[in-house]
Amino acid sequence: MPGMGDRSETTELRRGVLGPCVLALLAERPRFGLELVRDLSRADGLLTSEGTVYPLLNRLRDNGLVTSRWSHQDEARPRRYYSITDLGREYLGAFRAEWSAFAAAVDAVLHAGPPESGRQAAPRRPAGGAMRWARH
Amino acid sequence: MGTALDHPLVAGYLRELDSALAGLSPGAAAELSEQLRAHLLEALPDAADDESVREVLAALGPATLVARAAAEPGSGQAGQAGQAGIRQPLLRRAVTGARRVPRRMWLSLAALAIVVGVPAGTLIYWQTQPGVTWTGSFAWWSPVDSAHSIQTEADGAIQDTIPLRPGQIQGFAVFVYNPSDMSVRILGASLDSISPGAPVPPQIAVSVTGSVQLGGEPHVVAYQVGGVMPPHSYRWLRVLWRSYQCYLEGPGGSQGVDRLTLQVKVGWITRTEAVPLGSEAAVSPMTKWPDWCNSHQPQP
Repeated sequence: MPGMGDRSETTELRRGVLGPCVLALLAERPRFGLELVRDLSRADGLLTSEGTVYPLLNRLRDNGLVTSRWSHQDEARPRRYYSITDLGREYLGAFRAEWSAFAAAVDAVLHAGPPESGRQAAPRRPAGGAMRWARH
Repeated sequence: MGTALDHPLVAGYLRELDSALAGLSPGAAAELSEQLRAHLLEALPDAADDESVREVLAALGPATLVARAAAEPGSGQAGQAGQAGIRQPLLRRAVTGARRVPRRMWLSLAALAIVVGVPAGTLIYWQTQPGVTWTGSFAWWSPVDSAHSIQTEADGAIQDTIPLRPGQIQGFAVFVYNPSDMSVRILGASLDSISPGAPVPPQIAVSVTGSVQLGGEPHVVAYQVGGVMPPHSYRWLRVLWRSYQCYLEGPGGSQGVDRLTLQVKVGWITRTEAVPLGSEAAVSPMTKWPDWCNSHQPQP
Protein backbone atom coordinates (compact mmCIF):
# COMPACT_ATOMS: atom_id res chain seq x y z
CA MET A 1 0.00 0.00 0.00
CA PRO A 2 1.50 3.34 -1.01
CA GLY A 3 2.81 5.37 1.90
CA MET A 4 2.83 2.47 4.31
CA GLY A 5 6.54 1.74 3.99
CA ASP A 6 7.68 4.89 5.77
CA ARG A 7 4.94 4.76 8.37
CA SER A 8 4.04 8.31 7.44
CA GLU A 9 0.64 7.96 9.13
CA THR A 10 2.29 7.34 12.48
CA THR A 11 4.74 10.16 11.95
CA GLU A 12 1.94 12.58 11.17
CA LEU A 13 -0.06 11.38 14.14
CA ARG A 14 2.95 11.82 16.41
CA ARG A 15 3.46 15.34 15.18
CA GLY A 16 -0.11 16.17 15.96
CA VAL A 17 -0.16 14.87 19.52
CA LEU A 18 3.29 15.85 20.74
CA GLY A 19 2.31 19.42 21.56
CA PRO A 20 -0.65 18.41 23.74
CA CYS A 21 1.54 15.78 25.43
CA VAL A 22 4.09 18.45 26.30
CA LEU A 23 1.31 20.60 27.71
CA ALA A 24 -0.02 17.67 29.72
CA LEU A 25 3.37 17.13 31.35
CA LEU A 26 3.76 20.81 32.07
CA ALA A 27 0.26 20.88 33.53
CA GLU A 28 1.56 18.56 36.29
CA ARG A 29 4.46 20.84 37.15
CA PRO A 30 7.04 23.03 35.45
CA ARG A 31 9.89 21.08 33.90
CA PHE A 32 13.27 21.98 32.49
CA GLY A 33 14.23 20.91 28.99
CA LEU A 34 16.02 17.64 29.57
CA GLU A 35 13.51 16.58 32.20
CA LEU A 36 10.67 17.16 29.82
CA VAL A 37 12.43 15.31 27.03
CA ARG A 38 13.17 12.33 29.25
CA ASP A 39 9.56 12.15 30.42
CA LEU A 40 8.33 12.25 26.85
CA SER A 41 10.79 9.56 25.87
CA ARG A 42 9.25 7.21 28.41
CA ALA A 43 6.13 7.13 26.31
CA ASP A 44 7.14 4.52 23.80
CA GLY A 45 7.15 5.73 20.23
CA LEU A 46 6.11 9.28 21.01
CA LEU A 47 9.49 10.91 20.55
CA THR A 48 12.03 9.92 17.92
CA SER A 49 14.31 12.98 18.02
CA GLU A 50 14.70 14.74 21.33
CA GLY A 51 16.10 17.86 19.70
CA THR A 52 12.84 18.63 17.93
CA VAL A 53 11.10 19.21 21.24
CA TYR A 54 12.84 22.57 21.59
CA PRO A 55 11.45 24.12 18.42
CA LEU A 56 8.07 22.84 19.57
CA LEU A 57 8.49 24.48 22.97
CA ASN A 58 9.41 27.76 21.32
CA ARG A 59 6.37 27.53 19.12
CA LEU A 60 4.12 26.82 22.10
CA ARG A 61 5.68 29.79 23.82
CA ASP A 62 5.07 32.00 20.77
CA ASN A 63 1.44 30.91 20.82
CA GLY A 64 1.02 31.87 24.45
CA LEU A 65 0.53 28.32 25.72
CA VAL A 66 3.83 28.04 27.53
CA THR A 67 6.18 30.38 29.37
CA SER A 68 9.79 29.80 30.30
CA ARG A 69 12.32 31.16 32.74
CA TRP A 70 16.00 30.51 33.25
CA SER A 71 17.25 29.21 36.57
CA HIS A 72 20.91 29.69 37.43
CA GLN A 73 21.01 27.78 40.70
CA ASP A 74 23.82 25.74 39.20
CA GLU A 75 26.08 28.20 37.42
CA ALA A 76 27.63 25.46 35.37
CA ARG A 77 24.29 24.10 34.25
CA PRO A 78 21.66 26.81 33.89
CA ARG A 79 18.21 25.33 33.45
CA ARG A 80 15.36 26.73 31.51
CA TYR A 81 12.07 25.83 33.13
CA TYR A 82 8.87 25.67 31.10
CA SER A 83 5.41 26.26 32.56
CA ILE A 84 1.95 25.98 31.08
CA THR A 85 -0.20 29.13 30.89
CA ASP A 86 -3.93 29.47 31.52
CA LEU A 87 -4.42 29.54 27.79
CA GLY A 88 -2.38 26.36 27.53
CA ARG A 89 -4.58 24.64 30.10
CA GLU A 90 -7.66 25.75 28.23
CA TYR A 91 -6.28 24.36 25.01
CA LEU A 92 -5.23 21.15 26.69
CA GLY A 93 -8.71 20.63 28.12
CA ALA A 94 -10.27 21.12 24.71
CA PHE A 95 -7.78 18.76 23.11
CA ARG A 96 -8.37 16.06 25.71
CA ALA A 97 -12.11 16.12 25.04
CA GLU A 98 -11.60 15.96 21.30
CA TRP A 99 -8.96 13.29 21.55
CA SER A 100 -11.13 10.99 23.64
CA ALA A 101 -13.92 11.09 21.11
CA PHE A 102 -11.49 10.79 18.20
CA ALA A 103 -9.60 7.86 19.70
CA ALA A 104 -12.82 6.05 20.53
CA ALA A 105 -14.07 6.52 16.99
CA VAL A 106 -10.81 5.25 15.49
CA ASP A 107 -10.77 2.29 17.86
CA ALA A 108 -14.31 1.41 16.96
CA VAL A 109 -13.45 1.34 13.27
CA LEU A 110 -10.10 -0.41 13.62
CA HIS A 111 -11.44 -3.18 15.79
CA ALA A 112 -14.80 -3.59 14.15
CA GLY A 113 -15.61 -6.09 11.40
CA PRO A 114 -17.12 -9.47 10.76
CA PRO A 115 -16.25 -12.38 13.06
CA GLU A 116 -12.98 -14.12 12.18
CA SER A 117 -14.85 -17.21 10.94
CA GLY A 118 -16.71 -15.11 8.45
CA ARG A 119 -13.62 -13.38 7.04
CA GLN A 120 -11.91 -16.37 5.47
CA ALA A 121 -12.77 -15.42 1.95
CA ALA A 122 -12.46 -12.09 0.28
CA PRO A 123 -15.77 -10.51 -0.57
CA ARG A 124 -16.84 -11.12 -4.13
CA ARG A 125 -19.45 -9.37 -6.13
CA PRO A 126 -21.91 -11.94 -7.42
CA ALA A 127 -22.77 -11.49 -11.07
CA GLY A 128 -25.82 -9.28 -11.34
CA GLY A 129 -26.26 -9.06 -7.61
CA ALA A 130 -25.19 -7.06 -4.62
CA MET A 131 -21.87 -7.66 -2.85
CA ARG A 132 -22.16 -10.26 -0.11
CA TRP A 133 -19.84 -11.95 2.35
CA ALA A 134 -19.02 -15.48 1.24
CA ARG A 135 -19.54 -17.84 4.17
CA HIS A 136 -18.17 -21.32 4.35
CA MET B 1 38.54 21.06 33.23
CA GLY B 2 36.22 21.63 30.33
CA THR B 3 32.48 20.84 30.01
CA ALA B 4 30.73 18.30 27.88
CA LEU B 5 30.45 20.98 25.21
CA ASP B 6 34.18 20.74 24.72
CA HIS B 7 34.02 17.10 23.77
CA PRO B 8 35.08 16.81 20.13
CA LEU B 9 31.91 14.95 19.11
CA VAL B 10 29.73 17.51 20.87
CA ALA B 11 31.71 20.43 19.46
CA GLY B 12 31.32 18.96 15.99
CA TYR B 13 27.61 18.52 16.51
CA LEU B 14 27.26 22.13 17.67
CA ARG B 15 29.18 23.43 14.68
CA GLU B 16 26.90 21.46 12.42
CA LEU B 17 23.93 22.79 14.35
CA ASP B 18 25.01 26.43 14.08
CA SER B 19 25.50 25.95 10.38
CA ALA B 20 22.11 24.34 9.99
CA LEU B 21 20.42 27.14 11.93
CA ALA B 22 21.81 29.79 9.58
CA GLY B 23 18.46 30.00 7.83
CA LEU B 24 16.66 31.10 10.98
CA SER B 25 16.52 34.60 12.34
CA PRO B 26 19.54 35.36 14.54
CA GLY B 27 17.37 35.47 17.65
CA ALA B 28 15.64 32.17 16.96
CA ALA B 29 18.93 30.49 16.06
CA ALA B 30 20.63 31.75 19.23
CA GLU B 31 17.74 30.63 21.40
CA LEU B 32 17.64 27.14 19.94
CA SER B 33 21.39 26.80 20.13
CA GLU B 34 21.28 27.84 23.77
CA GLN B 35 18.52 25.32 24.53
CA LEU B 36 20.41 22.47 22.96
CA ARG B 37 23.64 23.43 24.71
CA ALA B 38 21.79 23.43 28.03
CA HIS B 39 20.35 20.04 27.12
CA LEU B 40 23.78 18.62 26.42
CA LEU B 41 25.28 20.11 29.55
CA GLU B 42 22.51 18.55 31.58
CA ALA B 43 22.63 15.20 29.81
CA LEU B 44 26.38 14.67 29.85
CA PRO B 45 28.87 14.79 32.67
CA ASP B 46 31.91 16.97 32.16
CA ALA B 47 34.13 14.00 31.39
CA ALA B 48 31.74 12.01 29.29
CA ASP B 49 33.13 9.11 27.29
CA ASP B 50 32.62 8.80 23.58
CA GLU B 51 29.95 6.13 23.90
CA SER B 52 27.83 8.27 26.20
CA VAL B 53 28.23 11.25 23.94
CA ARG B 54 27.23 9.27 20.86
CA GLU B 55 24.18 7.95 22.71
CA VAL B 56 23.03 11.40 23.77
CA LEU B 57 23.64 12.92 20.35
CA ALA B 58 21.80 10.09 18.67
CA ALA B 59 18.80 10.64 20.93
CA LEU B 60 18.93 14.35 20.21
CA GLY B 61 18.65 13.69 16.50
CA PRO B 62 20.61 15.08 13.55
CA ALA B 63 21.28 18.80 13.73
CA THR B 64 19.70 19.27 10.32
CA LEU B 65 16.49 17.63 11.52
CA VAL B 66 16.31 19.98 14.51
CA ALA B 67 16.97 22.96 12.28
CA ARG B 68 14.32 21.82 9.83
CA ALA B 69 11.79 21.46 12.61
CA ALA B 70 12.53 25.01 13.67
CA ALA B 71 12.59 26.48 10.19
CA GLU B 72 9.44 24.94 8.81
CA PRO B 73 6.40 25.52 10.96
CA GLY B 74 4.12 22.58 10.47
CA SER B 75 6.88 20.21 9.46
CA GLY B 76 9.44 18.42 11.54
CA GLN B 77 8.48 16.16 14.36
CA ALA B 78 7.26 18.88 16.63
CA GLY B 79 6.08 21.14 13.91
CA GLN B 80 2.38 20.79 13.76
CA ALA B 81 1.73 20.26 17.41
CA GLY B 82 1.70 23.94 18.10
CA GLN B 83 -0.38 24.76 15.10
CA ALA B 84 -3.63 22.97 14.53
CA GLY B 85 -6.20 24.27 16.89
CA ILE B 86 -3.87 26.29 19.04
CA ARG B 87 -5.36 29.62 19.77
CA GLN B 88 -3.41 32.46 18.26
CA PRO B 89 -4.25 36.12 17.96
CA LEU B 90 -6.99 36.42 15.39
CA LEU B 91 -5.01 38.35 12.81
CA ARG B 92 -2.05 36.04 13.17
CA ARG B 93 -4.24 32.98 12.72
CA ALA B 94 -5.82 34.50 9.66
CA VAL B 95 -2.46 35.27 8.11
CA THR B 96 -1.08 31.87 9.02
CA GLY B 97 -4.16 30.18 7.61
CA ALA B 98 -4.02 32.21 4.44
CA ARG B 99 -0.40 31.28 3.89
CA ARG B 100 -1.26 27.65 4.32
CA VAL B 101 -3.85 27.75 1.54
CA PRO B 102 -2.24 26.55 -1.67
CA ARG B 103 -1.79 29.05 -4.44
CA ARG B 104 -4.01 26.99 -6.68
CA MET B 105 -6.79 27.38 -4.14
CA TRP B 106 -6.40 31.15 -4.17
CA LEU B 107 -6.48 31.16 -7.95
CA SER B 108 -9.61 29.02 -7.89
CA LEU B 109 -11.24 31.36 -5.40
CA ALA B 110 -10.28 34.37 -7.49
CA ALA B 111 -11.72 32.71 -10.59
CA LEU B 112 -14.88 31.84 -8.70
CA ALA B 113 -15.19 35.42 -7.46
CA ILE B 114 -14.88 36.66 -11.02
CA VAL B 115 -17.28 34.09 -12.42
CA VAL B 116 -19.90 34.79 -9.76
CA GLY B 117 -19.15 38.37 -8.82
CA VAL B 118 -18.99 39.98 -12.23
CA PRO B 119 -22.35 38.64 -13.47
CA ALA B 120 -23.96 39.36 -10.11
CA GLY B 121 -22.57 42.88 -10.08
CA THR B 122 -23.69 43.41 -13.64
CA LEU B 123 -27.20 42.18 -12.86
CA ILE B 124 -27.39 44.47 -9.84
CA TYR B 125 -26.15 47.36 -11.95
CA TRP B 126 -28.80 46.72 -14.58
CA GLN B 127 -31.52 46.21 -12.01
CA THR B 128 -30.76 49.45 -10.21
CA GLN B 129 -30.82 51.67 -13.28
CA PRO B 130 -33.54 54.33 -12.93
CA GLY B 131 -36.70 53.86 -14.95
CA VAL B 132 -38.20 55.87 -17.79
CA THR B 133 -39.95 59.07 -16.70
CA TRP B 134 -42.71 61.11 -18.31
CA THR B 135 -41.68 64.65 -19.20
CA GLY B 136 -45.20 66.11 -19.13
CA SER B 137 -46.00 66.05 -22.87
CA PHE B 138 -48.96 64.03 -23.99
CA ALA B 139 -50.92 63.86 -27.24
CA TRP B 140 -53.81 61.77 -28.51
CA TRP B 141 -52.61 60.01 -31.60
CA SER B 142 -55.65 60.25 -33.81
CA PRO B 143 -56.64 63.73 -34.97
CA VAL B 144 -60.26 62.63 -34.59
CA ASP B 145 -59.70 61.88 -30.94
CA SER B 146 -57.72 65.06 -30.39
CA ALA B 147 -60.53 67.05 -31.86
CA HIS B 148 -63.04 65.51 -29.46
CA SER B 149 -60.91 65.33 -26.33
CA ILE B 150 -62.28 66.96 -23.23
CA GLN B 151 -60.26 67.91 -20.18
CA THR B 152 -61.96 67.86 -16.85
CA GLU B 153 -60.66 68.46 -13.36
CA ALA B 154 -62.08 67.05 -10.20
CA ASP B 155 -60.49 67.02 -6.76
CA GLY B 156 -57.23 68.27 -8.27
CA ALA B 157 -57.03 65.39 -10.73
CA ILE B 158 -57.09 66.06 -14.45
CA GLN B 159 -58.78 63.70 -16.85
CA ASP B 160 -58.31 63.95 -20.61
CA THR B 161 -61.13 62.04 -22.19
CA ILE B 162 -61.89 61.01 -25.75
CA PRO B 163 -64.96 59.22 -27.05
CA LEU B 164 -64.77 55.45 -27.38
CA ARG B 165 -64.65 54.36 -31.01
CA PRO B 166 -65.22 50.59 -30.99
CA GLY B 167 -63.33 48.58 -33.59
CA GLN B 168 -61.01 51.43 -34.46
CA ILE B 169 -57.43 52.26 -33.65
CA GLN B 170 -57.05 54.71 -30.82
CA GLY B 171 -53.98 55.74 -28.94
CA PHE B 172 -51.74 58.39 -27.55
CA ALA B 173 -48.11 59.47 -27.51
CA VAL B 174 -46.12 60.47 -24.45
CA PHE B 175 -42.75 62.18 -24.39
CA VAL B 176 -40.43 60.35 -22.00
CA TYR B 177 -36.86 60.47 -20.78
CA ASN B 178 -34.44 57.64 -20.14
CA PRO B 179 -32.34 58.81 -17.16
CA SER B 180 -30.28 55.62 -16.94
CA ASP B 181 -26.76 54.91 -18.15
CA MET B 182 -28.07 51.98 -20.15
CA SER B 183 -30.00 51.69 -23.38
CA VAL B 184 -33.56 50.65 -22.71
CA ARG B 185 -35.53 48.57 -25.16
CA ILE B 186 -39.29 49.08 -24.92
CA LEU B 187 -40.91 45.68 -25.33
CA GLY B 188 -44.55 46.26 -24.52
CA ALA B 189 -47.17 48.12 -22.57
CA SER B 190 -50.16 47.13 -20.48
CA LEU B 191 -53.36 49.08 -20.92
CA ASP B 192 -56.02 46.78 -19.54
CA SER B 193 -57.71 49.59 -17.73
CA ILE B 194 -58.25 51.65 -20.88
CA SER B 195 -58.83 48.90 -23.44
CA PRO B 196 -60.00 45.85 -21.51
CA GLY B 197 -60.67 42.61 -23.31
CA ALA B 198 -58.81 43.56 -26.48
CA PRO B 199 -57.79 40.37 -28.32
CA VAL B 200 -54.67 42.06 -29.61
CA PRO B 201 -52.31 43.64 -27.11
CA PRO B 202 -51.57 47.30 -27.52
CA GLN B 203 -48.71 48.22 -29.76
CA ILE B 204 -45.98 50.44 -28.35
CA ALA B 205 -43.34 52.04 -30.50
CA VAL B 206 -40.42 54.35 -29.86
CA SER B 207 -39.57 57.35 -31.97
CA VAL B 208 -36.47 56.60 -33.98
CA THR B 209 -34.72 59.89 -33.64
CA GLY B 210 -33.97 61.97 -30.65
CA SER B 211 -34.30 65.23 -32.59
CA VAL B 212 -37.82 65.82 -31.45
CA GLN B 213 -38.05 68.53 -28.90
CA LEU B 214 -39.98 68.55 -25.73
CA GLY B 215 -43.55 69.46 -26.63
CA GLY B 216 -42.89 68.99 -30.35
CA GLU B 217 -45.19 67.28 -32.78
CA PRO B 218 -45.15 63.50 -32.26
CA HIS B 219 -46.52 62.72 -35.73
CA VAL B 220 -43.55 64.00 -37.71
CA VAL B 221 -41.09 61.39 -36.50
CA ALA B 222 -40.78 57.74 -37.41
CA TYR B 223 -41.47 54.98 -34.90
CA GLN B 224 -40.12 51.52 -34.35
CA VAL B 225 -41.85 48.74 -32.49
CA GLY B 226 -39.47 47.30 -29.92
CA GLY B 227 -37.35 50.41 -30.32
CA VAL B 228 -34.52 51.48 -28.10
CA MET B 229 -34.04 54.55 -25.96
CA PRO B 230 -30.33 55.39 -25.70
CA PRO B 231 -28.97 56.45 -22.32
CA HIS B 232 -30.05 59.92 -21.19
CA SER B 233 -32.24 60.45 -24.24
CA TYR B 234 -35.73 61.79 -24.92
CA ARG B 235 -38.17 59.87 -27.08
CA TRP B 236 -41.82 59.74 -27.92
CA LEU B 237 -43.60 56.56 -27.03
CA ARG B 238 -46.60 55.81 -29.17
CA VAL B 239 -49.23 53.52 -27.73
CA LEU B 240 -51.97 52.25 -30.03
CA TRP B 241 -54.77 49.82 -29.40
CA ARG B 242 -57.93 48.68 -31.15
CA SER B 243 -60.87 49.53 -28.95
CA TYR B 244 -62.80 46.36 -28.55
CA GLN B 245 -65.43 47.01 -25.94
CA CYS B 246 -68.84 48.45 -26.55
CA TYR B 247 -70.65 50.16 -23.74
CA LEU B 248 -73.10 52.95 -23.46
CA GLU B 249 -73.27 55.63 -20.84
CA GLY B 250 -74.16 54.16 -17.54
CA PRO B 251 -72.91 53.49 -14.09
CA GLY B 252 -69.52 52.35 -15.39
CA GLY B 253 -68.56 55.79 -16.63
CA SER B 254 -65.30 56.34 -18.50
CA GLN B 255 -62.28 54.05 -18.42
CA GLY B 256 -58.79 55.43 -18.24
CA VAL B 257 -55.20 55.04 -17.27
CA ASP B 258 -53.07 57.39 -15.17
CA ARG B 259 -49.86 55.43 -15.51
CA LEU B 260 -48.24 53.62 -18.37
CA THR B 261 -46.98 50.18 -17.44
CA LEU B 262 -44.02 49.27 -19.61
CA GLN B 263 -42.11 46.10 -20.17
CA VAL B 264 -38.50 47.08 -20.80
CA LYS B 265 -35.24 45.31 -21.34
CA VAL B 266 -32.13 46.69 -19.64
CA GLY B 267 -29.00 44.76 -20.53
CA TRP B 268 -30.11 41.14 -20.42
CA ILE B 269 -32.87 41.58 -17.89
CA THR B 270 -36.51 42.35 -18.53
CA ARG B 271 -38.43 44.34 -15.99
CA THR B 272 -41.71 46.19 -15.58
CA GLU B 273 -41.80 49.91 -15.04
CA ALA B 274 -44.76 52.08 -14.14
CA VAL B 275 -44.56 55.56 -15.66
CA PRO B 276 -46.98 58.00 -13.97
CA LEU B 277 -48.64 60.23 -16.51
CA GLY B 278 -49.72 63.03 -14.22
CA SER B 279 -53.24 63.01 -15.59
CA GLU B 280 -55.61 60.30 -16.59
CA ALA B 281 -56.08 59.46 -20.23
CA ALA B 282 -59.56 58.09 -20.57
CA VAL B 283 -62.18 57.02 -23.04
CA SER B 284 -65.82 57.87 -22.44
CA PRO B 285 -68.78 55.59 -23.14
CA MET B 286 -70.56 55.65 -26.48
CA THR B 287 -73.60 57.80 -26.93
CA LYS B 288 -75.08 55.44 -29.53
CA TRP B 289 -74.61 51.78 -30.49
CA PRO B 290 -72.54 51.48 -33.70
CA ASP B 291 -72.94 48.68 -36.28
CA TRP B 292 -69.46 47.26 -35.43
CA CYS B 293 -70.73 46.41 -31.99
CA ASN B 294 -73.61 44.39 -33.42
CA SER B 295 -71.16 41.95 -34.97
CA HIS B 296 -68.63 41.89 -32.17
CA GLN B 297 -70.43 42.51 -28.93
CA PRO B 298 -73.90 41.52 -27.72
CA GLN B 299 -76.11 44.55 -27.31
CA PRO B 300 -76.87 45.18 -23.65
